[in-house]
Amino acid sequence: VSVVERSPYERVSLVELVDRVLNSGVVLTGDITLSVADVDLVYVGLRVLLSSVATLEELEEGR
Amino acid sequence: MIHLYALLDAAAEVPPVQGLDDAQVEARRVDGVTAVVSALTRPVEASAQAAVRHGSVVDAVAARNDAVLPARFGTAFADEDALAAAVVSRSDELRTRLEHVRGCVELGVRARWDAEPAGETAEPPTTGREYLRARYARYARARELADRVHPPLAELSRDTRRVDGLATGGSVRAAYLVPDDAVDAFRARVEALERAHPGITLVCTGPWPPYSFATLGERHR
Repeated sequence: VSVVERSPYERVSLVELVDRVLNSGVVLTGDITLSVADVDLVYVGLRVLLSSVATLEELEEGR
Repeated sequence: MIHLYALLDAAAEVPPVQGLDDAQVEARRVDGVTAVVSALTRPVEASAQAAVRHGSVVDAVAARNDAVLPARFGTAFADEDALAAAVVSRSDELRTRLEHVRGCVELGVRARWDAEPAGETAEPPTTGREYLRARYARYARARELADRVHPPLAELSRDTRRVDGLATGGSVRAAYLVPDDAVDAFRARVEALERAHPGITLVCTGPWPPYSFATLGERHR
């Protein structure tokens, strides 16, 4: 997934997307395999992803 | 295991895309509903990349079908029988829900005041009464924000969901189920609202597949 190419506007969208796929959408019957800890893990990963994008942009601006 | 991405109607078209772990995405037709799935050889990976991949499969499906119910990330079944049983148990509700979202997309709106109210930046409350007063003031401001922004946007929508906001008293977030042909008018109205209310910032995101409108009623087994 080439997330590093996303613009700041798309970063907002990335957070909104992850919020949606984790917290809304159809649940049928007892079929969710992600634990609360797993959901936290996804958010931690998202934060790392976003901060690495920000770092990359700073580096590019400094060129 | 089988990972579920979305549910569509019986006549749905499932594009040839790759899902989690690069597995081929396939269609399973059960009881008038099409389940969009891929095989998983291990439990769903709890990573942001996997969540984004799930979302991009849903996007690809939504691009080709006018009625899509996205599944929550992490929905997986032991085998084909378990998937079929789960779909059959809710198939009436699923078909009703599919009709509800048909021809619509979801647009997200975040609204916030540009500045804190006077006195908000002063010393933190030291008594219970001050704390409650500050809390009430925040609530009232969020309420006022929602009252200004929400009704004109709801007018252009088939359905709405308040995602959060009033409880926390901060920014207000809402989701709107908007017919395809009203998306431009909706965006124009968001811009008009922002112009009409100096001091309020609005951010409109989407179009999204209708995640916030895909939730079925609670059921306990």
